[in-house]
Amino acid sequence: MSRSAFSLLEVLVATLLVALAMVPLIGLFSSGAREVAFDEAYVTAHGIGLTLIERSIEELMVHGFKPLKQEHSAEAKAGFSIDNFRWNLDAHPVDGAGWLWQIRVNLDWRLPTDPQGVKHSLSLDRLLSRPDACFTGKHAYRRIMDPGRSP
Amino acid sequence: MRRNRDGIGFLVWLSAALIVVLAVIGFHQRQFTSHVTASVSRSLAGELSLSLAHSVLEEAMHQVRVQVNEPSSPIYLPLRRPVEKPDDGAMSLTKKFDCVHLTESSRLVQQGIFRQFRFKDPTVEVVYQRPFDDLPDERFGLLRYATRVTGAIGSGESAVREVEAFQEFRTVLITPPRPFDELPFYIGRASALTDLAQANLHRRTLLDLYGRARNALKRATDAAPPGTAKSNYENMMEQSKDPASVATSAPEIPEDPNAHVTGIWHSSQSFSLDSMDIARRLQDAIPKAERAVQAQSQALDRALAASGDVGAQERMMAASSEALTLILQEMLRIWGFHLAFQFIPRAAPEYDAYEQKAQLRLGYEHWRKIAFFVLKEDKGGGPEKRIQAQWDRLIKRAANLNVPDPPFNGVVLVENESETLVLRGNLVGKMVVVATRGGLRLENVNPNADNDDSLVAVCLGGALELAGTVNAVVVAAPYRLGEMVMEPSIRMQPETVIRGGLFLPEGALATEWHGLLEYDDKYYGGPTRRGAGWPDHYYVGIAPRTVFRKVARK
Repeated sequence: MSRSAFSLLEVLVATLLVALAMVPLIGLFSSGAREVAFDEAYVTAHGIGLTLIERSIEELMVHGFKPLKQEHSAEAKAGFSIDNFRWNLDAHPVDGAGWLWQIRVNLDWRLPTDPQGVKHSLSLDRLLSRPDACFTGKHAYRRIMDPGRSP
Repeated sequence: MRRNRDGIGFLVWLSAALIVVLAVIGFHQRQFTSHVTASVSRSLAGELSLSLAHSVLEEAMHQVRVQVNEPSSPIYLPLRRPVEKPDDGAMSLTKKFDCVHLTESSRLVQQGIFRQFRFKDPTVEVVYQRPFDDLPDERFGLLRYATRVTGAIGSGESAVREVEAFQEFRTVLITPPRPFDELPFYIGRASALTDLAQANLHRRTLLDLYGRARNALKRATDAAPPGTAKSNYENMMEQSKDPASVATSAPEIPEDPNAHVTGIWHSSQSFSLDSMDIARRLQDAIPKAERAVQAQSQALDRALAASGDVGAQERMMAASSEALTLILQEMLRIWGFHLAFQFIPRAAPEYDAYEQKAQLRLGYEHWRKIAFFVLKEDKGGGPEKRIQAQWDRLIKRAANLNVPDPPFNGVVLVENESETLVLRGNLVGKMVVVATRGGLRLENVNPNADNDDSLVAVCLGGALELAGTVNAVVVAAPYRLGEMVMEPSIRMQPETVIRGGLFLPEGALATEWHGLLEYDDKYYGGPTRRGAGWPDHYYVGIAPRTVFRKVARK
């Protein structure tokens, strides 16, 4: 009776090792992995957007309310990188007097696996009240009287 | 042959094992990915809900900010009504006054990423209001804004965020604190006005000179032969008041150096500040009066020696007229002094109230409590940190694209240790500016001010300099820091005109009083009997940033 070259245990171990080695490859070529990569980029885009908004709120509050326009170009780095996101930020008043401001961040990006011409984008908006609104205005003295109170 | 069959069996086993392992891994990964996706989606929806909630609250804050000082707004009067115990001033500004209508936030949820999000109309309420110490009408409080946002990303699970934001606010008089707002003038120590005892000494000297001059006139009248001269003398005697009557009209000035001095003036009534140091003015007048009385005495001798000489009689009449008029003018100064100033001696029942209120409401602690803005001197901070630069930036902070030079309203405490703050030109708006040890210079301030603008300029412990027309209520008070007390000083240019009021609680001494003080009653905050005065004399300042925000995840 001749013996097999490998024992059953050896076969199982070898199989497991091969399978484990294939996991990244399976992931890379599966549509699920693209979804993961997209989700990861989507989350990152939100993170970038919300951070930019918070930063510009500080800028407006500390250095005064002036329109802001900022841009960042994507650098098309290999693999996943924040530099692959392109964004522009615009802060401007939305009412006539300039007391209510809107900050808008537009982001777009491409995944390494995206075919040419495919692009993902995201826009985030935030409103901000300018504190100076209650410290200005011109009203004549004694224009308004409390009813029932003699001048 | 057997060995080959074994090899085939091995391949079958291997393939089967691989398929099973891959199936397990694939299933697990699918489950894991699905779980992560759902979790990330929910988390993102939460972040976006929070961001939208902040936007909703910011728009609500914006609407409250533009309405709190706008007389036509429904919340203008409620925020100015007196709050007295047990009332804690709590009220809803949205339920009761319907003051918030969001347009921009509504637009946000109609487009882009927020299309799957909804917000609940925000509520705005005053949580409480507390008076500053003994001032029921000036107070601080807390505003609460709240909203709830629900939303989801794609088909993901929806997230709910309830956000509350709290903001401090202050409601303060934008005019001088009560009861000083109703006064054109207040001096905490009468000795700061003039040397009171010396003034009375000079008054008596002048009265004596008046008596002598009138006596001389009477002697000339009695000695004059009947005719035109006698008739003219008699007319003069009739027209000139007797010394007792003059003394009654211009009584002695109270000599209590610690008396408070106030006044009740009509609007636009003025008083020459040169006459404030009345002892010096009377002293200056005495030599002239003595010379005039001496000249009259000589004229009398000649008139008596030649009673028929018409020329001698006329010269006597002229000398009498000159002496009496000159002295009466000085007595008129005393009369005007009494009319302008009201003395409250220590024995008076209201003395202690004035003493206490002056210390409480015109001192550093009061201004620090009610200030909306505090500027601090930073000597090593470069040009941008200089007090003057900080002030210039502050009053322009409300500038915007449409109005480059808008009014600025508010109470500003300037902690200047060495640099003098200079206010000059038109300051548009209603302001209370409090400078400290570095001093304050007011130079042609609001020369063309209209009724809408007002300025209360306070100098605590520093040098106060006044030049030109100053449309303001001017206050010079000591600066107290623990045991340390720094007295203010005042320097005035001769042509200075103060249109407003002048308050010197104690210790403030002018090197020399000059110019004119003209009362402007626009600084009067209204009757006090019902706790609060006229609403338009109160200003509501809301803190630029929220005290804290609360986020609830549902």
